[in-house]
Amino acid sequence: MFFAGIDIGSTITKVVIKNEEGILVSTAQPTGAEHRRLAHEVIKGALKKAGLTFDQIDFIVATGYGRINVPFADAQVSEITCHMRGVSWLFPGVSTVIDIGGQDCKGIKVAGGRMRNFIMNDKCAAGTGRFLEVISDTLGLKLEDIGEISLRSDNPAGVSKTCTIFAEQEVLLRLSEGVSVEDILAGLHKALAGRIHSMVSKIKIEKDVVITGGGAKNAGLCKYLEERIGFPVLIPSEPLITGALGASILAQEMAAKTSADEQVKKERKLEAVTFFDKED
Amino acid sequence: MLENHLQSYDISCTSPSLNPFVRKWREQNRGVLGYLCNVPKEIIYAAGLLPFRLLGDTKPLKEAYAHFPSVFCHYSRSLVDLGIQGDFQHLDGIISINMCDTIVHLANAMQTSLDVPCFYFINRPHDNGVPAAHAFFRQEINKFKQFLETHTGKSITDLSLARSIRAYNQNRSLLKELYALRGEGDTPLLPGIAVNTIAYVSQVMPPDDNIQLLSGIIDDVCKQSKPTASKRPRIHISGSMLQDLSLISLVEKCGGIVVSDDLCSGLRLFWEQVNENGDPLDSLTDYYLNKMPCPAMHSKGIEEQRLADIIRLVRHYRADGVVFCLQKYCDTHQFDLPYLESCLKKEGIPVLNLEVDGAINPEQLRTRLQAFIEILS
Repeated sequence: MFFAGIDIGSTITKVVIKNEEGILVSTAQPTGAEHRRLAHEVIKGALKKAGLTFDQIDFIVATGYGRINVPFADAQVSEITCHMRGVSWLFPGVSTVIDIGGQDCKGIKVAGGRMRNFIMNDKCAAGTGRFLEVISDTLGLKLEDIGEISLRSDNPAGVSKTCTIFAEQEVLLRLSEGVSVEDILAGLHKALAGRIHSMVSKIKIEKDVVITGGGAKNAGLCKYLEERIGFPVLIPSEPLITGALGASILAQEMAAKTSADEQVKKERKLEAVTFFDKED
Repeated sequence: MLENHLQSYDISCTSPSLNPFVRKWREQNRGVLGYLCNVPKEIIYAAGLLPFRLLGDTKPLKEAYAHFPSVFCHYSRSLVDLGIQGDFQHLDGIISINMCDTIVHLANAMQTSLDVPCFYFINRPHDNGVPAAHAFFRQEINKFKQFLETHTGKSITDLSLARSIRAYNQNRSLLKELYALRGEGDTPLLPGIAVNTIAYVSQVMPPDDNIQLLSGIIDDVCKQSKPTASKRPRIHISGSMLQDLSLISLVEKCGGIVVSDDLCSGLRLFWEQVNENGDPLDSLTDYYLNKMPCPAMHSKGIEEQRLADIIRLVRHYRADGVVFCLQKYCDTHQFDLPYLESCLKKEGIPVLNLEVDGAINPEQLRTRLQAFIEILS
């Protein structure tokens, strides 16, 4: 049997297809404005990569903030639960998950593979990937390079603001003072790590800590977060896909619970996909 | 039939200019008085006037920024906004009472900036444990009664007061019955949003008309066939004034069911009754001083009382979790939150904290509500 998890995040859309043995394929691509069309495209791409057809997938779970825009999904689950499940599968000893996404940042508390509590940023992009995007734009650097560059600094510049707009102004001020780009980036990553740490501390950070999301791909951010937390953190080899992975694991569990009656209902949902195809 | 009855509780009725009862009363030359918070509305109704609770709205503010500090809650700022835009032209006066500081500032701002024919402010003790509190508040209520008598030129008899108290008590018990139909059984017989909307809009309806409508709804619901038992997590909503009721629908869209609340625009309006035996002014004094615990009070043990009330409601309606949705900048409620939250968690009751500021932002809240409900499932 085959199970799919599709995670439409604010910035990147991820798909994981698995069977009972483990992960078959995973894909990630930027989320555009057209979620509905994209949901269809990415699943088609992932199916092609796995050498499967749509009909062979037994259960699909959608997650991420675009989850309500996946018309062919059998169930929708919040990304908080999905990240928790994905990370627990990769690291069974996890106690705290810190997910740094494109537009939000979450702390999730796990005990015995079950979610106990969570915290999420509210109404503001400080402490999220968007902060790093804006800063890399201001400095004319690539988003994927700024973490490494920040590691070259021995003397992080003082950055007092974590509000994205105010921090951008502060960067310009530091540049005009002649502070090096490495030191500025180190200071910014430190400030961002401080912001994320203080938010997640509300749910008590305990071992093992796993960092996921696009933020986990930034070596500078992970280093400063580790410094603040005070002990080593774990990072999955593919930190982007934990939400989609969790969704595919849930898809497998839900498929097992689905009775024959409900399978009939599922057939009708597949027809809806055909209609969706035509509309495309 | 039920649909027709529910239509009478359209949320637009909370604007005096759109409320059909306000129009009718004014056409018949009977006055309509807007009021805030815990004003003893029974006296207004006994004076032959329609009490209309000012509920504001959730639209983005236009004028309030220039007149009112941004550290006041959206509720108060929306009232300033509506007032400046002329929404209160359809009222014959505004009655206020000192509850929280924001309400006092709001009353001052409305009195100085709005063109409304009459204003009155009732002083209410903030500590009901002081021996003189009851006597003082009774005197204040009596002064208010005398003010209304002068205003209308007619005396308010004990009989008319008793009738008014009776009508509002009937409203209270019918609303309680409606809440029971929703939240006491295994499956709600009415959607959460319908019940909260009815309670909310009831605050701007004449009580005698409301008795007819509420009784009709309860009859309709009892005639319906009973749905099968629901296993969805049961949610209790805690807070003060919840203006954007779409939050209730959002909880239900995310897989939960709203079974109860302790909102001052919900259950706190009707949970207790005014004593119908004895001196009406004494009974009203007792009710408005002691029976509606508000965190704006400084009485000893008020936090413990509110905690006990929430736990009692959670047990009564068998709620699985509590969602706090407090107004941003509502200091009185926010100060109590850490205490309430930690005590509820000690009782084994999961808590989710949301902050509302006018209209809710569904996308952000959807993720948090859904994750919370997934923890409870």
